[in-house]
Amino acid sequence: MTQVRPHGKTPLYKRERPLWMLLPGGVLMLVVIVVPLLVGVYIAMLDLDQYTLREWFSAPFVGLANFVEAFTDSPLLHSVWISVSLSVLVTAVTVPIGVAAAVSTQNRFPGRGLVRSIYLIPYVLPAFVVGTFFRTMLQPQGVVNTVLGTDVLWLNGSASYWALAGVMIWTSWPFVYLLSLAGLQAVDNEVHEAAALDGVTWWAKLRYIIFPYLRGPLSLAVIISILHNINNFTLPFVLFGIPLPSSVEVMPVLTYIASFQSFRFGLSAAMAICSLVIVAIPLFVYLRAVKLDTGDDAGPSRKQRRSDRLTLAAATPAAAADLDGARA
Amino acid sequence: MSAFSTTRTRPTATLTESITTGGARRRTKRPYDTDVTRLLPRWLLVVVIAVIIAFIAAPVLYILFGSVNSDVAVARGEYFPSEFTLANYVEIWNTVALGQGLVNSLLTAGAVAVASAALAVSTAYVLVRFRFLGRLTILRGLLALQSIPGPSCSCRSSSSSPTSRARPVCRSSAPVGASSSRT
Repeated sequence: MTQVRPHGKTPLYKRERPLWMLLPGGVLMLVVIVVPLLVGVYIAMLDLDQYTLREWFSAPFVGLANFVEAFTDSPLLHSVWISVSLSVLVTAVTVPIGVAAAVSTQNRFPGRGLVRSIYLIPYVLPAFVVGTFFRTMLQPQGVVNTVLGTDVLWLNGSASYWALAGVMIWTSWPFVYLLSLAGLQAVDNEVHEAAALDGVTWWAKLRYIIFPYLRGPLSLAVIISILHNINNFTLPFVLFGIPLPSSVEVMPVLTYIASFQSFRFGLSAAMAICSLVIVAIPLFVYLRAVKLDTGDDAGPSRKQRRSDRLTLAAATPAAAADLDGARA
Repeated sequence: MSAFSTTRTRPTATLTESITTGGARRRTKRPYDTDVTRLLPRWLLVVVIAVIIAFIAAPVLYILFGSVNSDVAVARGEYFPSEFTLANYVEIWNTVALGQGLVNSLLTAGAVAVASAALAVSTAYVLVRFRFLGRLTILRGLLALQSIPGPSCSCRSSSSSPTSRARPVCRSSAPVGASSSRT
């Protein structure tokens, strides 16, 4: 990013910027996101339930009482733990699968297009459909127990946590695959040739040459994947139904129950805001740490590339020995 | 022959061999796409693809098999159908308003796709091509939107949310808010 020094009247980079093109998107965001969010903050400070809903502007103002109740007298913290641990677990498992899938379809071979389309099946199936047929499969007499020869209650009790994790992994890994595939496209052919000239083994090539290119796309994939998993409402809702087993009582469904089952709209809004804050703080720390938010971090930096080259040389003593031998 | 199937290769020979001895049809078209760019040895490639496809196919084939099986057999926990019936495919047109649902979906999805493409392209064009005050704030805000939890926005990440009445409104927030979210 080079800064052009302004001299003369208007600097070149400032002239004729069509900033008005931000307006349609901006207005839409204002109407469908910012305004509801502010209304939500206001509702969180009202004692709004089914009795006061009809004239909700005149519902009693209770200040922070809803927040106090959310923390002290509701399963909010429990569900935060469930959501966060589930989502970190799922992301940790999906990243290797996605990278392996991307690496396996990077080179051309007959039928690659077919394999790539098959990889996307879990991604294009609607979450509702995925939830429905996994619910059928995970029934006590269902096909999972029949095939495994077990007698586990997947949709009740503590095993439901692992059932949900498994289904989330199954349905969310192609997202990592897509972003890794985009990262792999950025590897120059010269890099491959240099590696081949140095006689690198396939693993050293992957580890020290290819994977550094995936750092940017993968950091983005990790953060978006974690956020989507935390906010996943449909899958647990369809898979287990209401009420959820307490071991999969995730945040979005808890908020939904508080609103539309218990009709405590104020409490529900307070819960939603708490979980928003809980998610947003680590998000911003992470964004600062990986410098993703500027959009300037595509692929390894120049400095990174140079250090990669050095580690490459250090990583292939066999190749260096070969070259020395050939020279002698 | 793979360039990386053995641990040691004669480097220069590998490069030239792979370029000159390429017998496949594609290689004449794309000379750069040779064994030099190969990432995995062939046996590992086959293993990885087979494992991942099996992982995907097990539940997907179950849907297919279940659809031609009888209800009782599915409930009993059969994977492979014990009988073959297409009655389910006839019934879906009578028991639920499938045709109307498909039309509704197509109309909604088409309209949303056109609108979100227009909005997203114009927004992205300005954000990427120009520098201005507040650009970083907007970029951060777009990512931060992904963190808004709760059922009110769950329709962003899944097309068939139970709160389907709110869907059109929420979906239309997707272009700017969730450029890479799943549909």
